[in-house]
Amino acid sequence: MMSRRDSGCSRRRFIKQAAGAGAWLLAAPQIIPATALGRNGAVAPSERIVMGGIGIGSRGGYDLGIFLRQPEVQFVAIADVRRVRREAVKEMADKKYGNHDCAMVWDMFELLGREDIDACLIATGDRWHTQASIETAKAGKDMYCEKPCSMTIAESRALADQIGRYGRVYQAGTQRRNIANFMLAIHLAQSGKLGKLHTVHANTLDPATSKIWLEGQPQPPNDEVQWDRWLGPTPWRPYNEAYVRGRWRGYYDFHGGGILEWGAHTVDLCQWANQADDTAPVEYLPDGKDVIAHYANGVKLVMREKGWLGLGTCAVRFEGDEGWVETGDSGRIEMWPSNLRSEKRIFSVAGTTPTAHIQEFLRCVKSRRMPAGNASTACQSHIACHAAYIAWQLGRKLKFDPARDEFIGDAEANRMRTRALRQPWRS
Amino acid sequence: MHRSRQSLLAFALAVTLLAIADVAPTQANEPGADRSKETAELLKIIETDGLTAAKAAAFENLAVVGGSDAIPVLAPLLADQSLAHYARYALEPNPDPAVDRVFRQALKNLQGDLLIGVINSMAVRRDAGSLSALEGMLADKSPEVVAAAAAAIGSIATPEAVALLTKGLADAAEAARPGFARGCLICAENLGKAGQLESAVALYDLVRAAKVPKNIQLAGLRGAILARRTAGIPLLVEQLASSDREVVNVALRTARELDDPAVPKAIIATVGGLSEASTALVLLALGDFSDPSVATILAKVAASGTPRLRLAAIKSLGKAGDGSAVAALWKGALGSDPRIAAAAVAALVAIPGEDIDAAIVAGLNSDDAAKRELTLELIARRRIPAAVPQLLKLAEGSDKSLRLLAIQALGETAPQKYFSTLIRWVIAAQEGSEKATTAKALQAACTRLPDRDACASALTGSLAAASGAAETTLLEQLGAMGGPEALQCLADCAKDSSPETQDAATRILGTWVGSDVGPVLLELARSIQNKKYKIRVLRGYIRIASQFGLPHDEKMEMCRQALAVAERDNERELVLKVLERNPSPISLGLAVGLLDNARLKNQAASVALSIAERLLEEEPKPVAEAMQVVVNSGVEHNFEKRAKTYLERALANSH
Repeated sequence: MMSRRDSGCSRRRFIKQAAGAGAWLLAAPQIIPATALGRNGAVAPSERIVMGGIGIGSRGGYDLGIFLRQPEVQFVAIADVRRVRREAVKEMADKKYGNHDCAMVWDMFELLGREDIDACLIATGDRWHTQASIETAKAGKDMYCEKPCSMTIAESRALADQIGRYGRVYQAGTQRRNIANFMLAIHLAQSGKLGKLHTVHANTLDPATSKIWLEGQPQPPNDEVQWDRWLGPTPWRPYNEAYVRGRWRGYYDFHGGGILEWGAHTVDLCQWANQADDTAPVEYLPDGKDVIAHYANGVKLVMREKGWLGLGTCAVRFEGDEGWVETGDSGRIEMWPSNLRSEKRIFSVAGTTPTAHIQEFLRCVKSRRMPAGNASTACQSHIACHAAYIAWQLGRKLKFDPARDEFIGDAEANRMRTRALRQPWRS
Repeated sequence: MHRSRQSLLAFALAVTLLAIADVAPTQANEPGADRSKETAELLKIIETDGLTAAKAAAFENLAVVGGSDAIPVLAPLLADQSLAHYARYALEPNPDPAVDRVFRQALKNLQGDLLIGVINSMAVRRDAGSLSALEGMLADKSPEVVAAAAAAIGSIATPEAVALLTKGLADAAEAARPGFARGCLICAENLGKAGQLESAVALYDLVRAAKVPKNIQLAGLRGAILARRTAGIPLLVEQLASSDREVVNVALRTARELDDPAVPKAIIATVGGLSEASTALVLLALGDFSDPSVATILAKVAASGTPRLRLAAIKSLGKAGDGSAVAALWKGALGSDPRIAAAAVAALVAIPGEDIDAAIVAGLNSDDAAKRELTLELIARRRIPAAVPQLLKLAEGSDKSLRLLAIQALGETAPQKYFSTLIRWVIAAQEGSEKATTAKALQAACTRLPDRDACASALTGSLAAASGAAETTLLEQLGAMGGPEALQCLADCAKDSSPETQDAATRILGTWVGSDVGPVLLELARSIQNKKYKIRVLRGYIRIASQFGLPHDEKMEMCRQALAVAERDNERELVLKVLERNPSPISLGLAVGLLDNARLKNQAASVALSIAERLLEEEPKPVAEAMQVVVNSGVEHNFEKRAKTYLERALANSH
């Protein structure tokens, strides 16, 4: 059997299925090399997932390291507007495969134009997540995209629409949906073991961002940094090296603030616990650096920075009329009453590793199932975070219609649902 | 750095004072309030020369508060290469219909990206009155302009829009056709949302038949299936028979999206008529349906299919299986194919039901040793309490392998009354595998048993009989259990004469969950003589101040105490980090107090400056006092310079 490189054909062509329907229903001797079927540790070509990366920095590099350890993944190309990052990613991939084959391009469209690539890892700065995901979907590829997934309510909706439109598999980097202690907390909330759920708490950070600009510096050569593309759909501002080296958080144009920063994980988990993955709270009330929200089903969502039990970052707490559970990134989980402890197990994986989340994504690429962090759920939890941030900015209580993605009776809040994208980008 | 609350309203009020500044929460936060005064101030800023942060922020704030009076100022800027996006930023969300007229007019004068930008803004606004203006763009020679216009028309989704896109797709040159097709997809989606499914289906059918890139055709196919709803099932099934994996993928996706009870039956009917590869994918998809017929077909294939299909069916049985699958799963779990075996074990663990429990426990009576061992593993993973009597017998038996597996299973299943038995096994364990297994069983029991206090008492009461690894195991479980009794016990052990005991206890206390450990750690930090353990408990104490949501004053007192006890700069540095994250006059004072430390001088200055920056407005007096100390302390020039700046600002604010 020829390898892809020998034959030059894509995976899709490779796996065009033989005829002879029906005969295989009964087990019969087959003369197929075991390696082609994926035994002995080898992955059959038909099961291989060819991947590229878009915007891979420190977080993306961590994700990429996990992708590279998955036997079915073959990582072939990196697109990044920074040369130093292109080279770092190429070095990682080439070292893994013992060759020099990983292609480097600055323009993601060049990567997206490659027919052999099935899926992409997207780990740009937040400002690019939606746009890169949409372009990836339009190119007919699946994607694992780091969080936060969007900068506005409108982008959240556009993301879900476009991923659905092109039937792509999308996994947001909300890995706590596949981490055991968080999953147990969700189970307790959803199964009624806490009684009737009345309050869900999401650990968030200081919502503040800034509109200042760093001092302008001479733009480096395009080969080093493509500044215009780095900015992408966001408003133009002068170049400063600090931005491209990762110090873009905290700026309004590039970052959604502290509610979204952790809420992309924790509000997302609260939505799940409340079985509200298809909606968002209907009311938001800012309270200092916190925001208190309410769902249509009466459940209260408290987005707060402080007052946690110390179970680690990105904590969540779910309270019902018969009990509560709280957990965080330490992997530890506390609950009351004590008989709930009978649900606990020794977690084989604790902490924040996205390995299981990435593996779920890869399974879904093959099966076409929607993964846990799919675009629809990510869209709704991000809308909740954006709405809370808008309420915080305006300093007033807002009512929201999740069916229309619209604030009720507040034109100014509605105008904050979107930000015009810099030309020629559109979502 | 200005950490301003993003209150655009407050910002608007502040713009006349300073371009961008820290601002207080707005006083004018009522929806629908008159914003004309703020708008006028913002417009003054955007009429200044050049592009600055203040000007950029003014545009962004006009996006929210700008009224009709902003439009004539912003409109000419749509043709300004450097300001066009900012102008659109301000105009796009402005609900005044005059904005639509401005955009329509701009289409006549713009080209390239500026033109595309305006068209994209029109798409966001979905103004039906702009249709004829957008129609004119469909003839543009740039495919990008055509694509933008087609998307905008698709977003409007009126019958006239449908007609334009339909004709455009039919007549377009190859380069422009994908843009039209994508516009048709947008339009069809909007029609579907409005309940106009027939029109949507017609558009989707056009797209899937069009000569456009395959991924666009496939999007049309997906839409054509979903928009037909139940009537789309035959089209879905038809795709499953395709030899093209990507077409099959569309069917697999839409099967899950249709949410129609007829779907599982329809795709079950295809099993036997498809290629092996497609059937395997269908079997995986069936796992997502709860239809009773699903379990039957999955069990059948799991028992008699080819290895590839058995694997797929068994994977799905974990989600959709029932008791009918148990025999096939046992066979797979004990078979020679490791992938099938792993999937079958996972399914046997996952399928719920007491009948499954009973079928599994029956495996203990098997003559097959491998089956008995697997049965014990399954009992443990399913936590089957009914098996406890048999497990206790096996745990006292002579077959070591079964004995250890039974102990492990008891860790997962035994009720509280057998907890002391589990402890006894830990203490009595003689060699490696036995020690590891009994420790793991005890850990499993401690993890799940409801009466945490009873467990802690039993562990505490058994410590005297334990030594070495067994003692460490008991202490670790005490740490995991938590509670006052466990805490007191560990505190006592931290002062034990045995270095091994002291090592384990201080390590466990250092990672204790709960701020109640704070006073214990502080007392140990003062009293322990061993330097290694002293450092360990002090660092644990600082961790409590750092990570727990304690009241500010309490945290600051902990920092003060930690600094008093600390003998090394490493721990003082940790305290400085806590201080930086908790700005207040107290934390500022504590940071300034470290300026006397020659090695930490600059670090302390950096933290003091960071805190001062955030207190300038609200606490100018303590900031001024602290900055005066920094200025006089001989720190690096840049710190001194910043301190002087803050000193001046603080003094100004004090007045």
